[in-house]
Amino acid sequence: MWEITQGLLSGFDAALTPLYLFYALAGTILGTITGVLPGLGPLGAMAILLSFTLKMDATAAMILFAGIYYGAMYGGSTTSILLNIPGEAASVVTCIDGYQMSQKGRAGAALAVAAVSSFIAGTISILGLTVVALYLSDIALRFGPSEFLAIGVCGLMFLIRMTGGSLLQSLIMTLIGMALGTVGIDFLTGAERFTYGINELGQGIEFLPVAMGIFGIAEVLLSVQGKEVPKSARKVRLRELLPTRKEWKRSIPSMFRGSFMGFFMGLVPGPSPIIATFVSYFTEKRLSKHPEEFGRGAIEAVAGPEAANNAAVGGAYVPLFALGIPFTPAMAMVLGALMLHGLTPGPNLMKEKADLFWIVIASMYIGNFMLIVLNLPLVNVFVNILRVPQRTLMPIIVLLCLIGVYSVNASLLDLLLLAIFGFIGYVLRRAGFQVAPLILALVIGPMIETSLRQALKISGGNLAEVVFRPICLSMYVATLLCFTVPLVLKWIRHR
Amino acid sequence: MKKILCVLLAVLFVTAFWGCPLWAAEKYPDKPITFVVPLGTGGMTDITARLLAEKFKAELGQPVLVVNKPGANGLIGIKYALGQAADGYTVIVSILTDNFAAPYFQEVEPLNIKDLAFIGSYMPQERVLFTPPDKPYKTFQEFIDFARKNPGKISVGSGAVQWALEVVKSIAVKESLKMKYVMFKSGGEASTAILGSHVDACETGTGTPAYQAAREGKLNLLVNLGKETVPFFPQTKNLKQLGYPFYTIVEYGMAVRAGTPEPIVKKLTETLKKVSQDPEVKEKMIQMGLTPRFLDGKAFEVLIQDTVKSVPELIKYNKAVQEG
Amino acid sequence: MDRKTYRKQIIISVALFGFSLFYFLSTLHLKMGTPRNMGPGFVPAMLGVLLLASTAFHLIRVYRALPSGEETERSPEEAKNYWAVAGILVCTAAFPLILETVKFIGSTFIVGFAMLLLWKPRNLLFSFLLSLGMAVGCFLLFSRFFGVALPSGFLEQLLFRIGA
Repeated sequence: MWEITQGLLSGFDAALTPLYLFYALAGTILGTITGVLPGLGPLGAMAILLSFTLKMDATAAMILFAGIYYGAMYGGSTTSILLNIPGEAASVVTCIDGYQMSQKGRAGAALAVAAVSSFIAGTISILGLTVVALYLSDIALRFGPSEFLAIGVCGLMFLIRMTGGSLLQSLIMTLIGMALGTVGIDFLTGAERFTYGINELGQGIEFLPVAMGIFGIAEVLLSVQGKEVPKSARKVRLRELLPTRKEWKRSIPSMFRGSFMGFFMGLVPGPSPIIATFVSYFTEKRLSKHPEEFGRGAIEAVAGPEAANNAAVGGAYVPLFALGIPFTPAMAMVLGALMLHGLTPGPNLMKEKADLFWIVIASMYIGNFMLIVLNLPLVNVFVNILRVPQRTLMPIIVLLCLIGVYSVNASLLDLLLLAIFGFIGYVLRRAGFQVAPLILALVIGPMIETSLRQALKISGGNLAEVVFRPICLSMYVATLLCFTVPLVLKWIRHR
Repeated sequence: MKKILCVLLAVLFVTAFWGCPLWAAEKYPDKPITFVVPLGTGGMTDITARLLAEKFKAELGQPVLVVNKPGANGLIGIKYALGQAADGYTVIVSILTDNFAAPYFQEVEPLNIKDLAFIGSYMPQERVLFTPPDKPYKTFQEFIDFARKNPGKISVGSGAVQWALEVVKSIAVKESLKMKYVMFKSGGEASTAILGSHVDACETGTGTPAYQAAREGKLNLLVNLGKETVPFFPQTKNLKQLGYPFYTIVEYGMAVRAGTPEPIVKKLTETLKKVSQDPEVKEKMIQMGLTPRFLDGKAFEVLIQDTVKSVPELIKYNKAVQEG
Repeated sequence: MDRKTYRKQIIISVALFGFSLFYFLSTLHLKMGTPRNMGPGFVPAMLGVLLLASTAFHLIRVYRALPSGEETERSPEEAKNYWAVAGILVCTAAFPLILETVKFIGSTFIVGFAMLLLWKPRNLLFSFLLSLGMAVGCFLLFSRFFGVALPSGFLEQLLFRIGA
């Protein structure tokens, strides 16, 4: 305990230099910009800056990247709330209620709650990072294919039940998402699936064009159609910018719950941060006193998932620092930066270059703090974006979606997919389907399939061996309880 | 008003359309170069490519942009690059040996050596078979004996290189072993699996987290599936030494579309040679556990030819493999 | 629900069922493998079956919910909006088709201008300048600042030099 405090103090001492503060600020600003612009994201920003960081020292590079990551997470939420366009998979859930709040004129409140949520989550997860990295780093290693399968399957259960409305519709959306995820070259055998000779489909259907299409383009189409509530053109009063006291009261517990969920899921490999967001949504809905508001603009539905996705960032750093294993492409970038500076993360790094570790931790706090300082005043600016007349804003959004998608992989196919899914999203949403499960299943489906096949291969086809393991079993049982207990309670009450 | 607009539009259209080579390339390079990396962002290829891009920029005086076009074991990116002009402004940076091997495993149209002009290679990578230290077998021979006595029990993973996994299978064919084979999506994923003892053995490359862990004694090295020495582990034998018929050749290098003017290819080769021998670059790579080594275009092409010859033979040989 | 909504729902349900059928049939010529060694077709086939079942259920359910009420006539206002929707989709799809030939600035300008026109702008010149500004601005932002490789022709190279 003392060791931690000492480390933190020395870290802050070293981090509060003008140079490092500058990098923290630069990182968060850059991250926010890339988070807001569709397509680029933290990975793109880091990739571009990687060579630039060669000229800096390792600590500065780490600080810059951490700032970018957090900034991008926050920027992604901004577009989710204001425009119903998720920056990345972890922001999709924020779209659901965040956008609804925005439609009702509560955009400022949603943004503010998202900002504070992210800040609290960031703080909790960094604290967690400090503690866990030193003592519990081996947790990540306990997760192999069977465990990933468990995470995926349980997450899927939550996903299907997450959004309100017809279970059947939700199921169909999820299945379609998973089916789309099977398109491409089968990773485990090399066989082509559903590619019909189109070479570019070999890499599969990417999340980004589908998300931008189903959310972004479809949104534009719906606005043109006139099916969306016209955005208010009058000047927004300050009072409306901030959440009411009641809203704060409702959000705060959600923020904490989401933070813990996000952090622990971030420790684990794979798209766990994404899963954390919808587990959080589901939990908040179950625990809320106003469950009927979910899907129509419940503040907890923004606070919880936002906290979860930010906390997952801190969680993801744990395996990187403690074991040297990156679990997301963005972390791989951070790893690359470290290696280019001659540092190999792992338990040794923590011991030898403990000072680096503490400075980075301290900077993450600082970056997190800067984010809220930067973004709360900007809430006003962001909300005013909504006041731009539709006829100008919509084409700009479409163009940004197009360019953003292209900027990732320079793929013309991605652009066509954007248009196709824009149409599909438009049609589905007009028919009353919730599209969030589709896009999330697209991400999780492949993980489930790959883990299933890997686990079965390792166990020689023995399904029991795959399911009856301590970690897996606890997850399956917990999930089952989450679903059956409320039903049982309802049944008892009726008696 | 409308007329003026139309005219303006037309002018814009025409000038943009022609993309004209008025600005003829008298001196190469006179505009930015694009490095096409047919693999994911953040991977070993991507990171080394970005490191080199920075140095190339310093040498050639023009910005070097890195574009990732992953998919299909590199085929998508390479096909994309081959569709660009053969003017030396689109350079493929990739594990070209693996890219040439991949189509055989996927049973698709293989790449044609003649379609590429090879600039050179900058780094070989060894694929090593790792195993957790608490296993009953500590050496390669012990591993083989154990596998023979326990058919169908051992699981072997691979860090996303099909060729390496097939080489392991060829060992099994030669020694009449029956094992289970699992493919992972990346070196990182495979590293997690082997460190957590989710598989009994795993092959992955130098530079990956598993390799770094082995440097700290957390994993044992059984054998090198390649044909050279493993940095920091000079005592690990390689398959060529041990007399096995097949081994991996993983070489990171650069190529452009065939038909690119000779002087441009030569300039790129010279730059690669200079950059890969740059002390800063060498130092960084060695620290990561990689071996910087320059081979010129011709030598690189020879490696590729070896690849194209041995892989189909490997596939035929492995038809006899028994899976657990 | 009224007749129009009912018709819409039926069409979509049939489309979903059709997609499931198409998907399932496509999985049939993939290798299935065994549960112990799952081939590329195993999981997709399972998904296909589940999809067929669920979309079939959905279709039946929608069909059973008989429509009531009058057939409301589509207003000319709405019809116009449908054209606008189609227009935007065409613009979005057109972008990748012209990008390689017309290069970045040209394509962005054309698509942007076309979309702005779809919204019946009051000031034509403003729309023209806005599209031009967007095209050039985005080019500079993404190409110079972010270092993204965009299809470049004569115009782009000119700008690149000016920027550099």
